[in-house]
Order: sequence, then C-alpha cells, then structure tokens
Amino acid sequence: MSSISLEALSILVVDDNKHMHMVVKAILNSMRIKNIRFSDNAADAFMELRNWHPDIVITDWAMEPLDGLDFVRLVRKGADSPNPYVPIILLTGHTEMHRVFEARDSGVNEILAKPISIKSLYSRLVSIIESPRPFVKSKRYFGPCRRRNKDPNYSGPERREDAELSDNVA
Amino acid sequence: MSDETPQIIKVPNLLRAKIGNKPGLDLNQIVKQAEAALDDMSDQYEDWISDYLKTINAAMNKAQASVPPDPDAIAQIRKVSHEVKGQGQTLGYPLLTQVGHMLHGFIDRDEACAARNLDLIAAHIDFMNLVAQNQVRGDGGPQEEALLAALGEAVRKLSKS
Repeated sequence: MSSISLEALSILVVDDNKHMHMVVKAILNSMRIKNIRFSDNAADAFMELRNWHPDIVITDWAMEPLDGLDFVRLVRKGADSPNPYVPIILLTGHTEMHRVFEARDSGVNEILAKPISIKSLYSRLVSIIESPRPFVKSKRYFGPCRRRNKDPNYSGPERREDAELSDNVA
Repeated sequence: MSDETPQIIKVPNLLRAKIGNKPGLDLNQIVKQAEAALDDMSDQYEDWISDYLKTINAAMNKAQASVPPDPDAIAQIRKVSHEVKGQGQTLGYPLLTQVGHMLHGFIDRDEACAARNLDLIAAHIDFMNLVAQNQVRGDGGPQEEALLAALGEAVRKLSKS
C-alpha cells in the first residue's frame, strides 16, 4: 500500500459513544491527522457538515433518533445537503450480509467493521483518496458507484436501469 | 436522454490534490503508534467496561422484574451488547467482543424469542461479568472456551426450534 501523508485531512466522526470518539481519535492521531471533530448525533453532524466542511466523515450506524444510514441518506439526497459528495465511511458492528447491502445502498463509500482495525481504517482512507469511485445518480440510488470491479469478460446484460450512461462532472 | 437514465458523475478528486505528494508514515509505524496510544488509555478501559456492565446488569434486572419483560430493557441489553461487541477487543477483551456478538445476534434475530428466554440472556451477561471481574484478557482458557461453546449451542438449539 502506498505511503501517503494523511495529515492535511479534516475528519468528522459521528458516534453516540464517547469512548469510540477517544479510540478513533487515538488511531487518527497516529496517522498524524489532527483536524478532527466529533458529533454524537446525526443532527449535530449535519450542522458540522454545513459549517465546517470536513474532507471525510466517519459515522456509526446505531444511533438515535436518526441512525447512521438516515444521516447518510440526508447527506446524499437531502435538498439542503451541504455536500452530497463527501466521502463517508460507515463504522459498524453490523456485519451481516443483508446489513452490508443495506449500508452500501444508502450511499456510503466504505464500510469498516467494529472492532476497529487500525490497518483497515488506514486502507479505507487511502482507498477514498487513491481510488475514488464516480457517483451514480439514478431513480433509486445516489452515491458512489457500487461496482468496485470491472470484469472485462462479463458478457451478460447491463443491469443498471438503462445502459446508456452519461458522463457528468460534479 | 430520459429522466430515468442513470448518470455517472465524475467527482473531481480534490482530496488527492489537497494531500499532495508528501510521503506519509509507514503503515507498521502507524500501527505501532496507534497501539501505543491505545495502551496509554488502557487505565480507563476498566472504567468503560464497568460502565457497560452496570448498564446491562440494570437492564437485565429490569427485564426480569416483569412478565413479559419490558421491551425497553431488552432493547437496552441489545444496544449495550452491540457496544461491547464493538469495543471489547479494542479494550483488550476479545472474549467480550465474542459474547457481545453472540448476545446481540441472539436478540437481533428474534427479539420475541429472546424475551421468552431471559435465562439465556442472563447467561451471556453472567459470562461478561465473569470475564470482566477476573480480567480475562486475550482468548481466555479452556473454561471460557467451554462456556462460550455452551452459550452458542444453546442459541443454536433455540434457533432450530
């Protein structure tokens, strides 16, 4: 994995558990990332997004009253979203396959399982920077392209709603 | 092009431009520093675990106080077990992560079934208390392994019935 300096990044961490704030902060600090803010609920996080403009958001899933996926949908599709394209990493203990699909379909860029792994968090951050995926806007979905790999040998039908895709620049 | 045509939107990679080409730390160095930072916080971990156990024990007492059990108490047990699952290993207690994972999964799959089997929920929580009180760090020994296996088997039997 390429060794790139992440210290210029600003990161918003959204989790209703203060202990997780401390754990994530310690790990990000070890990557020399110091520009970190914390929110313990989705509403405050949305305000931070509006006023502070973080480069990347790391959010928990299990929160109340709005959970992490509600927050992601607000960011991606909300009419008043300050930045629908902000990269979002979902940090979650929900690792069952149907939950992973649900998270992916909400528009997250990356999913990171708890217990948090230092190497995995680093690789997710590097992936967001080095291999960003384009966004897809369709009737049912708005978010990073959910296809991670292109299979040159795939000869089946186009499975998006329409094969004719337009290339726009945000 | 119709309104229903999916669009691919290429988002300019502003982050790549922002961080530039300055070389970063080696990943092994990052891991060492992060582990050291987490170790420095370890004197607080016992308090964190103690807080989780106080909360989950109180919720268990509340659940046992009525028939049927208070759904809020069961929801609280599920929530705390999820936190324990998410943090146990980071705090040096992988066994807490394992039992938290099992208990959360048991309640999450079928809350009504879990509420009818409070003894099994209590057994998971007793295991958490045992691990914390005896400060069983790491993977534990044969006794812990046997207890975990017994809990897993009990959950599996209920899932099949």
